[in-house]
Amino acid sequence: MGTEYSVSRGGHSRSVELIADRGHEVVLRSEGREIVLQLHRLPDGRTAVRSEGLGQILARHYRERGEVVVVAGHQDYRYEVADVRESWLQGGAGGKGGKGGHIKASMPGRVVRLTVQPGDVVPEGGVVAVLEAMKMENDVRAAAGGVVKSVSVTVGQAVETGAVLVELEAAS
Amino acid sequence: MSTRAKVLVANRGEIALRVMRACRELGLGTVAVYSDADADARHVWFADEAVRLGPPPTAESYLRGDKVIEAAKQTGAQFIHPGYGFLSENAEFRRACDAAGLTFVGPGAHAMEQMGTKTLARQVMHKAGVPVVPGSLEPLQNLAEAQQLAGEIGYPVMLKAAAGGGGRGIRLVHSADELPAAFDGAIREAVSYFKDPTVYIEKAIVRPRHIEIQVMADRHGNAVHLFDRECSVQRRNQKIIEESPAAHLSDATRLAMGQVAVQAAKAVAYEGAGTIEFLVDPQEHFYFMEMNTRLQVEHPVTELVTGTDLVVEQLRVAQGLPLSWTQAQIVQRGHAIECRIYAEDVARGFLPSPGPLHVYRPPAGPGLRVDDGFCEGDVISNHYDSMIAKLSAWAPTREHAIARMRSALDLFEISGIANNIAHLQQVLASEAFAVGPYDTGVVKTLPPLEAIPQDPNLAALYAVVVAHRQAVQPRQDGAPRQESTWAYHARAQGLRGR
Repeated sequence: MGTEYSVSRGGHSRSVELIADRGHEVVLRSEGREIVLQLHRLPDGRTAVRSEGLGQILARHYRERGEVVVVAGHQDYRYEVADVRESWLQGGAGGKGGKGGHIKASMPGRVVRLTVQPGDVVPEGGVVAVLEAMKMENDVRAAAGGVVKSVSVTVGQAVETGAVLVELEAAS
Repeated sequence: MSTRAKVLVANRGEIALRVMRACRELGLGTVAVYSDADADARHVWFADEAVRLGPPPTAESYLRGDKVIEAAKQTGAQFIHPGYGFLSENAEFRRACDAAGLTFVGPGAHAMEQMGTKTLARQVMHKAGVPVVPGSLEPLQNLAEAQQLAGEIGYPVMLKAAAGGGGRGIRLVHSADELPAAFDGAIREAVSYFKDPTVYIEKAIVRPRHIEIQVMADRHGNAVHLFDRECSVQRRNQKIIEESPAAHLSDATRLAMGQVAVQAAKAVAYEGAGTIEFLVDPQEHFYFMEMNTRLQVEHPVTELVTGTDLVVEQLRVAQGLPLSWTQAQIVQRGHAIECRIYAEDVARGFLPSPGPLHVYRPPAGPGLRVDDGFCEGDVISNHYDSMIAKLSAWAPTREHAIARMRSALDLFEISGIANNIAHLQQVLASEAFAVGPYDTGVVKTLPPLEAIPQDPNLAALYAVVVAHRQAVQPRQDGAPRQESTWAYHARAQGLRGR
């Protein structure tokens, strides 16, 4: 069984299922079609990505503000990639940080613990706060790594949906 | 102290490196100057010595002529090469160099002043027999005079600031009823931009082409031209693509323009490299627009088609040597195109987009030339011009040169900032440019670029693979991924894969 992802760029979103990752070869399903991607890492750090009938790109990649940036030629293409299953599970309480480096509360609750302070380096998926909602404690995680710029709430504070808890900035 | 002659290059970025390379080839020592924003810049570390000028703003650094002269004295440099922009057309600075016993690589202060004020330049050129656009030779005194002249030469007319430049301080007036408001506006703009209320009037040339002639003169009275450059591809009145020779220009007109340009240079006892800019109408009537008394950004296309090195020649002339070539020895061979690559967001009105160059890999190959001043990891600063690089292509024919340029632009790798390569590609691929003839309005005839360009096949799928691998890997040992700060920074900055 594969993992289902939703990949979006510029407001358009599509669903891609990753069926098998065999290193040099990855099998995906997109728009009802099975696609075999061949990946070859070049000595200069680029990856040659090719698939029969779809051509080839020489790409670099990095993560910035929770997005996967694919560099092809002179253009950066930014994608938000979400694991559909995980979004479901996490959609409930704490949730993930949104775009722009703000980690927000995805439902009303009370801050029970803050695990970071300004200047801390947070890895992708790192816990930044614990929010109590519906009598359950929920970890609030960073969708992308970064450096904590500011913490906008205090322990014990009640927050509404969408309230900014922590602001991250890209490490420089 | 070394006895080797030294050249201080009073500039930054690609042109500083361009000049320093020529110095090295001639066995001359090099001195760089820099602002705090440029302490790590390539030109600083390319030079034999470097002197700090001041904080990042140009008024406190690259425009501080006094500090530049001090730096030359401190390092024992005898020559100052100003590049383009900054102090290059500043007659006062030129005089200060003379007073300090330093050789300024460029024309004398008098020639600079005559060409630097547009009304004066028009008078001098008119006297020298150079065709100027019909209009006022003297500054306009009042609205009544403007109305009378406009009536004589016929609408549309242009109102221009005498001290203007760079496309600013210019107003197009279509009819007599627009003139009073435009006249007041032009004066206001002239004061606010150039602190000089002098304006003059010219006939507006409809569908003009911007074609310029490169000249070179020595202090022994020799002057030659190095043919033409077409610079009609402009956005916001600034050039983005230049070519030599101009396509769709008859050889007779080209030669006539060359001869007139030499006449113009001689009329002001010019020394060094200079450019006479002309407006050319669809019937190939050409009119003097202005003279740039310095090296031009787009000089590489002339070098490529004539097989010359204009900076080497500038340095030779500054040392008092006669020109290396006679007019008959200069020939135009093949075709060259230059593209200026800017850090700008084309879809948002060509908005400059300073920022980090995460990836920077210019193309290379037969017939290609790259003039740049940055390297991967540099930051394009918001204090200075947003040009990243100039890419030039030479080929035996124009068609081949365009194809070579398009292929080279495809291979240019840039990441981290918005850039105008997609726009340059659009122009090169357009029928207006490729087939022509085109004029200075060509960019406006093209459809706007999409704000979010179509992504290439496979890019989205590759993004999924990247996200998948990053999500899966840390969980393989059952613990959240631990990453050292070092590794994190390396990844964030250098795009090193994992």
